[in-house]
Amino acid sequence: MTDKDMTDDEQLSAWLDGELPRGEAERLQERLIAEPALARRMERLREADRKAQNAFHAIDGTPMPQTVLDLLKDDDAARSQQARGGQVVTLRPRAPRLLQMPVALAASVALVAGFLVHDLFAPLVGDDSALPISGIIASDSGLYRMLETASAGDPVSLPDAGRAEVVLTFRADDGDWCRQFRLGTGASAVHGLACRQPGGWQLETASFTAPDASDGTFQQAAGATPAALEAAVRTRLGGREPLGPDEENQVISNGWKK
Amino acid sequence: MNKGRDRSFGGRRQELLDGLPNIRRFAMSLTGNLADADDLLQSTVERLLTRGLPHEAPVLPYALTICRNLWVDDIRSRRTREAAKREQALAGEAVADGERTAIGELSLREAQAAIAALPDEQRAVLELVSVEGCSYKEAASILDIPIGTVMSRLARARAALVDRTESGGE
Repeated sequence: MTDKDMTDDEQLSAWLDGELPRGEAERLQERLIAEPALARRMERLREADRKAQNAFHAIDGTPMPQTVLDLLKDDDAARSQQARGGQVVTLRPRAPRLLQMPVALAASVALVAGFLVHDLFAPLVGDDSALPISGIIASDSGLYRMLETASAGDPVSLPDAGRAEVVLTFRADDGDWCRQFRLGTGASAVHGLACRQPGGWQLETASFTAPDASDGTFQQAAGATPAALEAAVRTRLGGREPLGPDEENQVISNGWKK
Repeated sequence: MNKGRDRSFGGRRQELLDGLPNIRRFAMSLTGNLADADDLLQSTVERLLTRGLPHEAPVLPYALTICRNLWVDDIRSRRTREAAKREQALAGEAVADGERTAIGELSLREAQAAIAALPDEQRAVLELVSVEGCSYKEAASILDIPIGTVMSRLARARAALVDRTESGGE
């Protein structure tokens, strides 16, 4: 099936799943930049998907049938399953889904603000990359809410990006409040630096590890912060110490007033 | 006779146990109600325990395939399900936990009702790809359909959810 045979919804849907072949994905990304209506449609499909995920997971809140657990209870496994309740496991990490991570960031930044999409997507076809991007983070995005209210080290669940957290909070030498954050986990994470401006949160730098195009594996060690981002944070820190939990709570409570 | 199949399950029992919520969600997507989903889950586990699974086969995709086959071959043929009952069940039985109340119980129920209203084949493929993280190839294999069909069903399912969960549109 080529993109000519596919409807826009099919292309957008496959793109959201990371299943669109590279050439078609690039053509679609060009269109997403040029056609705001298409970008809005993509956001609607993504949002519908997020709602569906929540709805499907609702069954996890009901206890697993005892008869099923008993079938498997010849060791301690069943008891540990009961103790964990409806814990979620995944089939296995798959590279296309992980490619969504920068896209999740794009949804928070570039697509909403309407610029810099090229910069954000270019690394999808490259190697381990720092993204020299900046942009206003949309105030209705999950990323914005996390930056505005979450304490460093507290995991947050964001649509599409999954697990996310603020890594550290500090005051830059020019007085800006800045936060280093992570979307996703391990080698599939996007690492970013955002600073609070009068109008809201501004993304200053982001970095992620792209899969090796030859075999879909990831090259960077899980959990490592990309060197380029570390350098950006160091520059902004200017030798200062990050905020401790109490100071951070106070700044959050004060609405990031300088 | 059974060379190449692992009936004892051994250490893979834990793998199956860990995958129970996944199989259950998929069963729910097939059956549309909790009672039938749990029956199907039980049948799937019983089938796996009695017949074992091929050595080296990843437990969860295999279990999902068994689950789907049981639904198609056996349970579905024996039961007549009413769509209205299913919609009511899907919208009413599932329980929102603490985390999900953050998105609002109303929108959760709205989404559940919208999912319940999807054609069975769209709901199953949506669950596999969107929730379980299956690749299109894996979903095609589990559901025994072409990849192009996976793609078109997913797009239709998502488009239908957009229509049903958005009040105004643009």
